[in-house]
Amino acid sequence: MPEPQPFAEALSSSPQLFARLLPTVYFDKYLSLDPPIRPSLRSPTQFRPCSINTSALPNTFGSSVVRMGECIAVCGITGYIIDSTEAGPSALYTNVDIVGRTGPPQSELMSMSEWMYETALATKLFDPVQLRIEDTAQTVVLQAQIQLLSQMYSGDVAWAALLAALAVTRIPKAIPADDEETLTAYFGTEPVVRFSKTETTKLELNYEKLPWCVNFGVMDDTGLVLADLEGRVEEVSVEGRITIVTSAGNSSIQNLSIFAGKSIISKEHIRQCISFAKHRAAELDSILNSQIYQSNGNGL
Amino acid sequence: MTVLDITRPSPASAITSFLYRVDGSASWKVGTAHIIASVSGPIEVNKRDELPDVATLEIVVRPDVGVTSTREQFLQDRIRRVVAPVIALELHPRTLIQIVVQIVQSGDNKILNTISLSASINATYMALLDAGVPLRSTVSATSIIYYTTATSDGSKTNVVVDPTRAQLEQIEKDITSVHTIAYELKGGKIERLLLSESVGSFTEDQVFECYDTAANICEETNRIMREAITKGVQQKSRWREA
Repeated sequence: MPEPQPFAEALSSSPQLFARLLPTVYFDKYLSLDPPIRPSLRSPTQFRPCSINTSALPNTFGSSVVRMGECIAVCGITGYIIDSTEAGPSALYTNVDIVGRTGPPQSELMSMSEWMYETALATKLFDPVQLRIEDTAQTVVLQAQIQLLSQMYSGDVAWAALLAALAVTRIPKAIPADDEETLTAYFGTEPVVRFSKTETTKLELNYEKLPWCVNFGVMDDTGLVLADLEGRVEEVSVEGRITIVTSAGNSSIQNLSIFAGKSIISKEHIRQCISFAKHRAAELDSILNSQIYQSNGNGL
Repeated sequence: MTVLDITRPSPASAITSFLYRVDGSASWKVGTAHIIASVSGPIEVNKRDELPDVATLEIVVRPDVGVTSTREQFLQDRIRRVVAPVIALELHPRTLIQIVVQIVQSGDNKILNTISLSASINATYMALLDAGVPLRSTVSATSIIYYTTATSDGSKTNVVVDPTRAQLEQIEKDITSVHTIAYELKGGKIERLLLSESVGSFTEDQVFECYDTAANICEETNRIMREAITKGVQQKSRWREA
């Protein structure tokens, strides 16, 4: 038996090094096993485990912490009052940020922020009429601040955090302001109001089954569909992407993004992904509902 | 209930090679949208951005009005995803291919990005061709919008392709879904889907229907591109006849 070369020895004794230097080869080695498996030990159609916690943050109208695999996102919803009878496109402003980073946001994050804003607007998550303040020409507008707590992040976790936070959001009632601070800060012509600390009404969403975001990858050589991509190895090895925002049950879809890269994406791939996405949406609904039930004794 | 009424305003037009300080330039007009793209490359890249096996691709999008915002980052990301697989980046390692997209008139209303995106993809592709950057295939993109109109017995679903700003404003409140689709073509025929961004409320069938409509539109757009390139080459070669 010939002596193993030192180079081969070094490679075979460090899988992490192998993964860093040749991620696509590393990935292919796992997928070529029978049955195919991914480095995270998930099967190609297996989603990441997900946990959701709601109403954990104080001083917010609603909040959530969502964890999918290694990605964690925290969403806090706050609001302020503007002099307008219609909130329109400003009813919900979303901002995504990575905790602990200084300086201008990365372009990928900015792109994700824009995607979230567009999707939130297009999916019409709630009717802004609920935000109007009675007897005045003022309305509340909501701001959702989403913080990504991990180095790895993806749009679907951020979106899930937004949905979960909105599902438990309660809008405080606006009452006439009598404190020095609010009275001196306001320069408009409307009656001066502030948020009550005790009376709140639940924000009614337009969806009973929420439109969750689910992502898929499509391999360019084999056309294999991989559910819920995560990690550098998968992101570098799989160029074709399908991202779907849809709710379980009914036939309508809210968002479908397809980037083929070098892959050939067929109608069959898309149909398969939509079907998986609806199952995943149902699963996420039940995770959220059981969380809400536990935390305040009644369902969504 | 769904009786499709597809309308398409005036077809697109393009001109190339009008900017002198860059390697390639193209102007794409469709509806009320007007996008100019310029390409320089392969050119010198700074050490920090250099990649050892492929060319670095830098895409900058400038808005028509106001300062650059997350919207331009989004457009830049989507243009990159379409264009990067089509350019033979591995032929020019350790160089830079710089693309600048200037939106002269976006053609979108305040909340949509679709017309800017599809027109920018077309303008970028034409500019890459003009610059002589090695490309694997042809790209063309289009925007398709579904909206409802009230009729005597319910509502009708209508489809408009590459609408003008005025048309968009008219149907704004009734828009149900917005689709931006880019195809890869070879020899003037559709080869495969490159990009599809669909937002709103739509069904699986509507999306597939959209893909078929977009395929026809993209083949037509491809013909328009060929004509513009032919004219451009004839213009550049006129010294031969003298």
